[in-house]
Order: sequence, then C-alpha cells, then structure tokens
Amino acid sequence: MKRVQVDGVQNVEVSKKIPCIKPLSEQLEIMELYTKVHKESLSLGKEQRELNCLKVLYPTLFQPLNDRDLIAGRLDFLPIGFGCVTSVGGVGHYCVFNKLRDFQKQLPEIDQPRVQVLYDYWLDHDVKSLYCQEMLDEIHAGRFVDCKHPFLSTARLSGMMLKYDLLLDEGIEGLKAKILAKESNAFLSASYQALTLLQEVIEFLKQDSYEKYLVASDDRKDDVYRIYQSLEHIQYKKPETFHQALQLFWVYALIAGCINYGRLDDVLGPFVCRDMENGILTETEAIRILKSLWLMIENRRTTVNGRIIVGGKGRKHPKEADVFTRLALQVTKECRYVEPQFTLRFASETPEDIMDMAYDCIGMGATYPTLYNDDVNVPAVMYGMRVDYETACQYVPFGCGEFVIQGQSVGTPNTVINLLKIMNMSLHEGVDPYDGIDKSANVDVPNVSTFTTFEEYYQSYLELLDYYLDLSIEHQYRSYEIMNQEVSFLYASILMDDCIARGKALLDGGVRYLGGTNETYGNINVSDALFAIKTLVFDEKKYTLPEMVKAMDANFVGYEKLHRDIMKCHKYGNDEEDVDTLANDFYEYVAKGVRDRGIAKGMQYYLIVISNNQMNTEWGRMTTASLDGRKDFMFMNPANNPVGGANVSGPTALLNSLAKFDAKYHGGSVQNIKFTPSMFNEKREVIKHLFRTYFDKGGCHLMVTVVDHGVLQDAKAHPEKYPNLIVRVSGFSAVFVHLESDVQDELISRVLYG
Amino acid sequence: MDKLQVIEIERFAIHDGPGIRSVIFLQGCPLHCPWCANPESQAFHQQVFYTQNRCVGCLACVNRCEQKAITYTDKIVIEQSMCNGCGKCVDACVNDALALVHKEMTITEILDIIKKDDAYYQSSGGGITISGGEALVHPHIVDLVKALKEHKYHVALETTGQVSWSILEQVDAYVDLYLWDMKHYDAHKLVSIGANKEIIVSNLKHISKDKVIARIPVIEDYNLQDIEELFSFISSMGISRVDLLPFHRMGESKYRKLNREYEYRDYASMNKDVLMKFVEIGEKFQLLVKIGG
Repeated sequence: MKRVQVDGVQNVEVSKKIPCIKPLSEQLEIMELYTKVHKESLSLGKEQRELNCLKVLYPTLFQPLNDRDLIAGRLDFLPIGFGCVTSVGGVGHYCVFNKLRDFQKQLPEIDQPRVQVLYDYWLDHDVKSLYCQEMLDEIHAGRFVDCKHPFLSTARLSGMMLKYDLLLDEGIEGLKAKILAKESNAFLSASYQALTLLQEVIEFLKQDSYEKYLVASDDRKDDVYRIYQSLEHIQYKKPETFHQALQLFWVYALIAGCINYGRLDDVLGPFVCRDMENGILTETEAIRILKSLWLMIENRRTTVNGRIIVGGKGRKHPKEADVFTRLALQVTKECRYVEPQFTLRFASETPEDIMDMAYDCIGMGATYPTLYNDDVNVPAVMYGMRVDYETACQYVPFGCGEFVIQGQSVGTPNTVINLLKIMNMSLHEGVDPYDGIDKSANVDVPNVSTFTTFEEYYQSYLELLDYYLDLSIEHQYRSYEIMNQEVSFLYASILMDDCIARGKALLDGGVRYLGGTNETYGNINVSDALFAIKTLVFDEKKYTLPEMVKAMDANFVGYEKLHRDIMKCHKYGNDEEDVDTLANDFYEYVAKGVRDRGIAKGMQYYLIVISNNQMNTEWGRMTTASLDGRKDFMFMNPANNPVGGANVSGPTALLNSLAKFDAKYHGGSVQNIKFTPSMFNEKREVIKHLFRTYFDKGGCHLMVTVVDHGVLQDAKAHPEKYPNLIVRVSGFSAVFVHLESDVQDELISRVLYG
Repeated sequence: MDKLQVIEIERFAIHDGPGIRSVIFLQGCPLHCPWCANPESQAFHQQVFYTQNRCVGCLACVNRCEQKAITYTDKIVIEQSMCNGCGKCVDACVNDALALVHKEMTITEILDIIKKDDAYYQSSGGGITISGGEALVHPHIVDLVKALKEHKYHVALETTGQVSWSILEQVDAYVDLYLWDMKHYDAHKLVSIGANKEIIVSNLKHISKDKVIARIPVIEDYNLQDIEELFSFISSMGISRVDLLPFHRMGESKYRKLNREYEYRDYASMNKDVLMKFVEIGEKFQLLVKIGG
C-alpha cells in the first residue's frame, strides 16, 4: 500500500524554536521509553495508554527553574511524545518524522539505528499519520502543508482554550472530588490519575525551586521562595493569591498542551484586585510578574498562537478584569514580543481609557492588541454557531483568527482550501494548470468555450467547488473520529464542558459543542477574477473566455493589453458596489456552503475562517496565474483583504468594502490595515473616528500595523538593522526579518496609509 | 447634465478642514505659482500625464492621436494645447504611461462617491472640501456647493480669493469654512503669481471672518522672510486662524509628467520645525497658528 509522505514540514514555523536542554542521549532514552510504554499499552484502553505515556513525559520534560522566571514551568518537546497541536510537539501520540530525522543525524553513528526503530514503529502509530494514511489521496486532498493540492486536511486539536476559572475555583483536589462524585469509568479514572500526575509535576517543580532557593542570590531569593510557596499551596489547595493562581494556570496549560490561553482578565483579574486590596501586591509587582509570563509565552514560540484575550462582553468580573486589562496593555506595550497574540475584545461599553491605551500600544508599533468588535461578533457567533447569547459572549479567537467558545467548544481548523486553484482548474476542464493533473474527481467541468453567459461559467466553477466542500466536511469530521479512536486528550477534557459531567472524553461525546473550521484562501483573487471575466467577456465582450484563459496560461506574456484591461477592472477593497457585490455573493456561497454541510453532518458548527498565516504566499507559489491579473506563483490575497496594492481609494473605502461581508456566516475573518506612525499617532482622533465608524458599520475586526514608509523595504535589504521590527502577517505577528523573502514582498505590497 | 472637470476625489482627507473629509479637486486656476504642488490643476483644458519610465517606445499613442498632439523624434512629446481630451492615446498605451488629468463628472456622480463616507464625516465632524485649482472659477461651482449643502454636508472651500464677488456672493451662504490661501500681503509679490490684492482684500471684507482659516504656503524665497508682516496683514483683516504649510517637493514628478520645468527643483522640502517659532509669533497678532493643515 502506498504510504503518504510523512517527512514534510508540518506547520508554519516562523519563530525559531528553543532547543531541548537535555543531552541527546537522554532525549533518545525518553523517546525509547515512550515508544516502549506505548507499545506495551496497545492492548489497554486508549485512556490508560495515554496516561501511561504521559507518565513517561511528565515531569521528566519540565526544565529546572532558570535564573529569571517569576513562575515555574518550562517544558521541552521531543520529536516523539504527546500533545494537541503541531506547534508544540505534535498531535496525540505523535512522531514528527522530519525532526526525528534531524535528531538522528546529530547522534553518533552507532546510535542512529536506534532512531530508525522508533521511526518505523511510529509510521503505524503516529495519530496524524494514521489520519493522513486513511484520508489523503494526494490528488484532491493533500497533506498539510503540501501546496500542490487544492485542498489539505490534517488531524490536530488546535485552539483549545480551557475553563481555567473552574481550575482556579476548585483547585486540583476540587476537580478530583468532582470526578469521584461520578460513577467511575475508564475516562474518569484516567482523568483522576492525570490530576495526580499533575500534582507530581508540581511536587517536582517545588523540589526544584527549593533547591534553587538554597543557592539563590540575595536579590533573587524572594522571587524563588514565592514560587516555592505557591507550588506548595496549589498542589492540594485552591489558589488564593494572584501568584498562586497564575502558577496553577500556567502549569496546567503546559501539561495540557494548550498554546492559547483565553480570557485571562476575567480569570486572573479578581486575584490581582484581591491581592492589591490586601496589600500583598503592588501594580509594579503585578506588571513584573506578567512580564515574566509574557516572556515564557514568547519562548514557547508557537508562531500563530499564544492568544491572550481581554475585554468584552460576558465577563463574570468586569471591573476586576478591566484592572487586569490595563496592566496587560502596559506589559504588551513594554515587551513588544510577537507572542502572546494580545487580543482586545471591546464593545460600546468598553471604558474609553482602555481603548486609548490600546491605540497607544498599536501606535508604538507593537501590532497589538488586535481588535475584536463584540457588538458585531456576539450576535454573529449566536447565528453562526447556533448558541444563545450567554454562550456566544464566551467566543474567543485563536491561532490565525478562528473562533471557539472558551471551555465549551472544539473548533480546530483541520481543513484548508485554495479557492483560486480550484477556479483555475474550473477554467481547464478540471485540470490543474500547475501540474497538469486532473483534479476534477469526475465532476463534469465543461470547456470554457461552451459558456454563453457569466452565470453558466460561475455555476460550473461552483459545482467543482462543491465537490471540495463535500470533501472538506468528511475530512474534518473524520479527523475527530480518528483522534478519538487513539486518544482522550485527558487534560483538555477535564477542563472542557461537559466531559466530566458526561463521563466522556472530549471527542467521545464529551465536548458540549463539536465545531470546526475550514480555512479558505484566495477568496478575493477569485472574486476579482470572476468580476474581470464578467466585465471583459460577458458585459463588454472585449475578449472571449478562451482568449482570457490562453493569456493566463502564457502568464500574460504577449497579452499585455489584455492584462492591463484586467487590471483596470474594479477590484475589491475600493468600495465599488459592482465588484464588492460579487465578492460578497461568492463569500456567502462558500461560507453558507460550509456551514450547511456542518449542520447536516450533525456538528454544532463548521464555519469558514478567512484567516491567513502566510499560506496565501506558500499556496501562491504553486498556483498559476489567475484572471484577476495575478501572475504565476505570486502570493494570493491575504486573509479577507484586497490583493496587495489593489485598494487605491483610501482607508474609508477599504473599510467599507471589508464591512460588507456579514460576519454571521464566518467563524473569524482577518482584516489588516497599515498606517504610518505620523498618520496613526498625530491624527489619533481622526483614526479613532475612522475605526469607530467602521465598527459601527458592521466591521468585526481589525489588525493594525503601524510602520513608516520605506521601512519594510529597507529591512528587507538590511535585515541586520531591524532585529525587532514586528509586523502583522495576518493571523499572526512576526519579526519581519524572520519571514521568507516572498512573504516579505507580500507584506510590502499591501497599501500603507499616511 | 453639465459636467465638472474633476482631477480627483480624495477620500479620507484629513488635512483640509476638520474631521474626515472628501476633497474634490477641480481643474483650472487663474494663478501660476511656480512652486505649485499640483501643476496639472493650473490649466483649464484637458492634459495628458506622461510617465516616461513606463514607456517602452512602441509609438502606439503617436499613431492613435488624431490631433497629432503627440510626436516622437528622440522622445515622446505631447503638445498639451493641441489635446482635445479624447483619451484614445491613453487607451492605446498598454503600459499605463499615459493618463488623462481630469475626468468629466456630473454632480450626481460626485455625490455618489462622496456619500459613501457619510458615516465617517458624521462621526468625526468632517465633511466635504472643494479645492483646485481655484474652485471658484469653475462654471458650475455654485451648483456644486448648493447640492452639497442640500445634502447637509459641512462644506469647506479652498480658494485664493481671486474671483469676482458675484460668484463668491452666490456660494457664501452654502460654505461653512474657507481655507483662504494667503500667499503674500504685498501687491507686487501677488502680481508676480497672477494674483490681484485688491480683489482678494475686497472679497475678504464681505466674508464672515469666523469661517476663514488663512493658509500660507511657506516658500523660502517668496514669503518666508515676510511671515510676520503677513500675520499682521491677516490679523488686520479680522482673521484669527492661520495654517502654515511648509514647502514640499511632492509635486515634482507631475512637472516631469507634463514635460514642464520645475522652477523649485533646487529647493529642499521645508522641515516643519523651521516653522515652529511662528506659533509664538502668531500669538502677538492674536493668531492661532498651526503647522500643516
């Protein structure tokens, strides 16, 4: 049987990972032991197997306390282990084959065959490979991230944001008591033991911090002692102070493999306020501790994750949460890291000073906070995810912009689709002009010469697209089944409604809302291309469709006039009714198509997310020229934004175009805008009115980069001068000089206002 | 319907009046300031911009021009006075080396564009600014201003004041704010750029000064050394607000595109800081001075 390629890169990794501190020999021994335990547990239930394996990893992979952290908890990852997502480690029982190969090369030759044994074992047991082996035909559906294909799918559990308030309210013993109160089963029993393992981890960290305390310098002693005390407290008792709460939250997030953290303002705000009232915490100290947290999050280097969300509707402790929000804004402004992805939800009732602090932070060039408009998003989530108001208020964006309901829903984007590649296939009877392979899957795709109206062609494209949308729901759903077959995700399950109450693991019927997302790419290239076809072929009859296709196949070389005519057609992003209407029609077709398929499959929701994580550039590299005028292998449009440089009518026009898409049909849609510092900072009042009006018009979201003219170009030419220049790629921020050359070009191409 | 010659409608304009605005730039100006940053706005007739570095020398434009306004010997030369604005040369150029300077638009077409940003004007206390060229010499300016007011826009008008009172009188009731270009106080200096002090002063006298902001383009060898006297003059006219606009070279490429000589090519753009001292000096004349628009 043909085996899917497993060696490729698995995910977007812009930030350089910090390597494991353990010697290679020890790393190998851990991976061998993990493999052995997994093998020996094959006959056991998945819950017990998971637990046995976790015991190999924890506390072993926790690093000793370093010289500056103000809470304990740094975790190493090996090419083999257990996790939720590819950003840290891998999915379920995982093997990251390309990293294992790299690891192998570093070993003395004599030890290399030991790695081969592991490699061979995991080919049949790595959860993601099991999924890929079953689902990917590598014609229609490809491996994530293999951009030859029009559609990619994977198994992962991204975007888990847990119910940390429950953890802090109950403490570990409280959670255990809840489990004991239920009639036991394999899942609950393993969950209970997993909590005991967590206590062992805390014990390990406590011992370590005690040892560090004994040798700490005078100015470090108090910090280490506080860590020791907090660990001792939270091991068996509910946290009472901010430091204890933060310590417990952090260790849990690490051990659960979660890389997005959710609404920390509401969770930690009350602790901060209580400590301040009790005189045991100053604002300065709170900021100092948070800076340490920010650094530890940065050091996990997950590139597109690390979300901390503050503000917005539906918080239990809005007053205290706002105190935390102000501190966190201060920290974000001073730290200027690419992670955490600091996110502000706001609504009409958000205090003005918080908005001002947010704008100040953005104006400094931090790219944070990213702004989410609750007045639009809450009702949109109610419709999109089919939940009530209170539930919708708990929406949180993760990763590149997808929404989940914190503590209540799974919404991992396990399917991604290239709408533009499929359009190019629809213009070539189903054959992808990139590699000449027929990817039509028996959908009848007529020759372009047969279309007599625009509607006929558009319909034909949509029929081919339908095939891929059908495929996507099957792939999304199956990813849950296969993951569930192998693992329980015990730690995530414990803090997600209603796993404990139902006595079921997350994907075994435990999670309250089983959702999912499909990342769509190239949506604006498609709508601009559709509009060019409609205008030039069918309205003005300037060219025939075969002529247009011939020109794109030649990458427009020799067809300069035709190319110019395409470029002169209206483009999305300029507030032009005709092209924006078509863009919206296409958006709604895809968004509703995906949503309807999720509902029909029995999921709570399955929504598109118009996100971006440089996939627009990577996928563009393997997508031929398109009828929006884009040349061969150029980047595609970023997220829901116009093609770089196409929006020439100023920011109000751009924002008006963006606001036309009704937010209720998507599960997250990223909107970028770029200003010069002088415009953003010197005309702040005007900018505030600009944003406010956009949000009032239905704008759901904004990500703002503030950078001066020529800076990005100069940074590309002289990277050594700009080690800390942060830019918003779309779904994530990055240090500009770490990005690949064509990703940098894509960012430069975007219009800069001011 | 009668059409206006519109060079551009700039949306999200934030330097020409309060709040978020759209600025309508109209073609034609009776003055000929040699530092002008928008030289294409001076002529009253249509012109063609020519961007040489986009031109591949295919001569499609030369062959297409029925007026024989475009010739080629060693380079493309456009005789702007012969151009009838048909736009065929622009259509013939596949490299976008040619572009018409203005577009003929009806008031309805103008309104269709500006109304897209109504919510932004309302939120920010903004509105519409009419600029030029000299907007007031445009034949349909009264209709335009009236139409804007009928749609309840805050209307600002940028003018040199070099226009007959009969026109100004007709628009005055519909204008909320004048951005009044005051390039000099000295009659001779004004004559050198085609302006007439008497007309300007006489017009100003009839206008409520509460709705006037004087704007001074600060030019090194023209008025920089005379700013204090100019303040005195402005103050004596009863005006209390002044914007100083430092000289910049951003119009330079437009001269090239029109094949015109740029007399200020040897002058550097003026740093805003040079003008900061005038904020204090303005106070002596009871003037509120701002740098930039």
